[in-house]
Amino acid sequence: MSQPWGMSGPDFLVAYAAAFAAAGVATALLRAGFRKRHDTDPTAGTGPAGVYTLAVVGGGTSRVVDTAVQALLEDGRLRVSRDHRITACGTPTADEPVQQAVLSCFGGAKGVDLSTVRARSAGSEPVRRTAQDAVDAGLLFGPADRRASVATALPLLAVFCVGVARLVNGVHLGRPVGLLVVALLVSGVILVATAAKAPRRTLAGDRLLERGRQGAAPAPRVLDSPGAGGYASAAGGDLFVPAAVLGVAVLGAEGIADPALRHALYGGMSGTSGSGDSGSGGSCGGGGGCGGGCGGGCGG
Amino acid sequence: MTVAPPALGYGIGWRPRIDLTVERLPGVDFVEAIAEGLAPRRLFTSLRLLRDRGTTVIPHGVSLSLGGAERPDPRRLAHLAACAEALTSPLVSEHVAFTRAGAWNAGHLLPVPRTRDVLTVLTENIRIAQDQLPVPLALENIAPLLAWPDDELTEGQFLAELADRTGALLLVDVANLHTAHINLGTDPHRVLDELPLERLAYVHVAGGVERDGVWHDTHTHPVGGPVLDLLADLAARTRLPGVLLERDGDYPADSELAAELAAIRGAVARGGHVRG
Repeated sequence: MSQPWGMSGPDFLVAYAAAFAAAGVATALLRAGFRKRHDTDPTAGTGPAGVYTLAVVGGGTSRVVDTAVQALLEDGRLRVSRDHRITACGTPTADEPVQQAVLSCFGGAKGVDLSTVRARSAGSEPVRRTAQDAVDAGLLFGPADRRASVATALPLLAVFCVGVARLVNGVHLGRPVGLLVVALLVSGVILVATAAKAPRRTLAGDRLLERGRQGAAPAPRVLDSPGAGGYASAAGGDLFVPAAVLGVAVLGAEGIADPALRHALYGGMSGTSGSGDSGSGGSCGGGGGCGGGCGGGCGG
Repeated sequence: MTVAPPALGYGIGWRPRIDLTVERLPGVDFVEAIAEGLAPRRLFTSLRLLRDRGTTVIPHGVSLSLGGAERPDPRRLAHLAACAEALTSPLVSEHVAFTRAGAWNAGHLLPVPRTRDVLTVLTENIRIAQDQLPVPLALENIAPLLAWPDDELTEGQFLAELADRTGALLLVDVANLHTAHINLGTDPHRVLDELPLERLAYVHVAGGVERDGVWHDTHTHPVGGPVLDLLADLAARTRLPGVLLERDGDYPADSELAAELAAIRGAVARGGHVRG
């Protein structure tokens, strides 16, 4: 019995895997070329940048929020407890719009966790503005560029289509196709993941972040704030940014040296270790009068 | 049974919202945790850490209802005892108050009539509690918004008699004395005159606010001058085994809490000394 396309099933699977791997290499090369073509200004990423710029380049708008939270924790305007709840200390005021957006998340005595602060403030105008300014500065790709970069996954798509054609043909001829289906499922997931993971940071963004990681960011002492013409340094560009704040901007959670504080902030988030503090809830049982605390003047 | 109160130093009320703050505040010798919010077999990490590094942790009950007509709930007593054992506490504390009557729960610490009949009931309840507790019990005066008519004893006489009959220690809340002064016209200095201060275990200090002539012991406001003056008066009368700041909400920055503790130290220094 002749083989479809002159190849046995196992031979096709080997050829498909090899072709898909080669397409992966081609996609990586196309991606690198795409980023290189967009790196038209070699000085981009070497000029002054504020801590929020480093944050958005390093970790997106969530990182910007984390950085503002860290700054507010550092100077005692916010507090975090071991159960991951962040609360405001008194009625804190903001130095700049990103902090204002973050502080607007706090109202109740129970506080909110970092995930909630991110969800509530990452879409705010001041935080989105940091991202747009980074795009305008050539540090991040904009939405149009990111859509265009999806084309770099075409080699993977082409190989995948060949596999689909082989599957259709195999089914039509009544051949066993189980292993081919598995191969197509795996390669399909890789294809979708690759296409969805369009490059976010430009080479200029990489340069800036690398300098930040080396502690040689152009202006790590500058806390940027949004202005009419983008982000300028606040207070004449001479605001001191604590090391922990800069650390969060550049490295995220790993930028916090204090393990208890790091766990309090990030330990309760999905994908990270830890799941809250123990000990909550007494065992006195038997009706009311058991909810601890004397808040509001219970007379104790 | 008469037990000498242990030396405690300066402290702050431990609450889950400020656990890291309390762990890191300088000059905190002891803390107090609301017993009803604890699970003795699964202590908060923060309290375990404090206990293990030698900071005294005192379980503070708010629901034993020692002044109630019913006997103390054995489960609540067992819970308080388990907290003391889990935290290796040198004592526990509760209020001279009632919170329950049958199935009804006030959700507040209510004052008891200061009569000899009530003294008898309270004495029996406190002795039952003492029998079940592994450590000495300290009794706290409450912040009254009202008083029963026809009291037979002053607050000082009542607490002194109670301490004498039961051998219990006293937890004097100077903010509550101030509350009684504003709301009921009680002379706080006279109360201090009447108390057996050798039975003093420690002192509570807290902030409150006056609204429409009524003092609310909120624990969410800064400690005011009159309360600190009362603390200084008390410190002038005896060496204080311990003084603790209570804060239960609207927490300020760590620096402000540290400043409140410093103000407390200053008031004690004006009057005398904390036994350390």
